[in-house]
Amino acid sequence: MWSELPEDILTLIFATLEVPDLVRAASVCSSWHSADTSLFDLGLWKQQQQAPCLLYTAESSSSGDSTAGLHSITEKKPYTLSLPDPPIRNRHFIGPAYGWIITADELSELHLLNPITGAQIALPSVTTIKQVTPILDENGLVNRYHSWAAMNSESKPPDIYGLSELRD
Amino acid sequence: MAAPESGDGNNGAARMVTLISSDNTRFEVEAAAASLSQTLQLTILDGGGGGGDGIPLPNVDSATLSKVLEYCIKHAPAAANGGAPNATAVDRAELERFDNEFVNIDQSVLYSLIMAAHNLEIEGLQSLVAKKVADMIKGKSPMEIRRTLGFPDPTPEEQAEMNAHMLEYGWAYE
Repeated sequence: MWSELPEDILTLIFATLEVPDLVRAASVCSSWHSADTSLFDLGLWKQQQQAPCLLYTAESSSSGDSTAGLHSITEKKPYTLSLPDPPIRNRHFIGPAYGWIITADELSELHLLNPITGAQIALPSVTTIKQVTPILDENGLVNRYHSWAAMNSESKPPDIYGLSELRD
Repeated sequence: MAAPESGDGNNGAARMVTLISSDNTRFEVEAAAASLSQTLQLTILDGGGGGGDGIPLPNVDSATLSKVLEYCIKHAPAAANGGAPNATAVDRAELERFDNEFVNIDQSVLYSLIMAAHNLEIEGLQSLVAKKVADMIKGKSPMEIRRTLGFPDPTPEEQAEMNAHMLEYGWAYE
C-alpha cells in the first residue's frame, strides 16, 4: 500500500518533514529515495518553513575538528555531522543560502558546503582576484598574500596579509 | 466582476450536484462543498452534475467518497469566504478540532483518502493527510518506518541500499 504511493504525494508528505526526518525517510526504499531527490531538485522543500537548525563547531575531545554540531530545535536533539576537509572548526562561516553555507578556511579560500549531504564546492582561489597575489616561501608554498585595498590604487604599495588574515 | 452563471444556484436553495462513486453509489451534495475539489469545480462551473446526470468518479469508492465529502461539507463555509478572514477564533479552533479528529483513523482509510484527495485535487485535504502521515514517520528509523507503514520485508538489494544510505548519512541515525 504505502510503498506504492505516487511520487507527487510522497513529495507532499516529505515537504512537511524536518531535515533529519527527511534524511531517514529517503533511505526507506528506492522510490522514497527518488521522491526525496526530486523534492530537492524541484526546490519544493523551500515551500515549507523549516524550523531553523543551529550549526556550530565546538572544542571536543571525541569528535575532532572536522565535525560540526547540528541542533534540531523541533526535535530538541543534537546531531554530529562529519564534514570534508579543510577542518570545519578552523573555518569562518560567511553565510548560508539555500541549504549551503559559505566558509573561509585558514588560507582564506572559500568553499560552498552543504552540511547535510557533505557536498562541497571549492570557489575560485582568492589569488584569482585581481587585487590579490600570493607571496611564496622558499618551498614554493603560499606564505602570505599581497593585496591592493582598492580597485585603482595600484600605484600605492600593496598591503601584506597573513594566510588567514585576508578572510577578515 | 460578473457572478458565475450558476442558473439555479441563486434562487434561495443552494445548488446541489450528484457524485457517483466507483461502486455506483450516488451522493448528493451542495455544489459549494464539491467545488473544494479543483477537478470537480470545472465540471460544476460548466453546469455539470445537476439534475439526473451526476458526475462519475471511477477512482473513488463510496466509503472513501463519503469521508471526502464529510471533509468538504465541513470546510466549504470557510473556503467560501476566501480562507475565512472574518472567521472567529472559535470557528477556527472548531475546524482544527474537526481536522485532528478526522485523520485519527485507520491507515488504510488514510491511504484511500490521500489518493482520492490527490485525484480530486482537494488541496486542504491532501495537506491534512500528508501532515498526518509525516507525523507517523517523524523520529523513526527507516526500518521502523517500514514496519509502521506495513512495508514488506526489504529484499537483500533494498537492505544493501538502506545500509549504504545509512552509512553515508550516519549522523541522522545517532
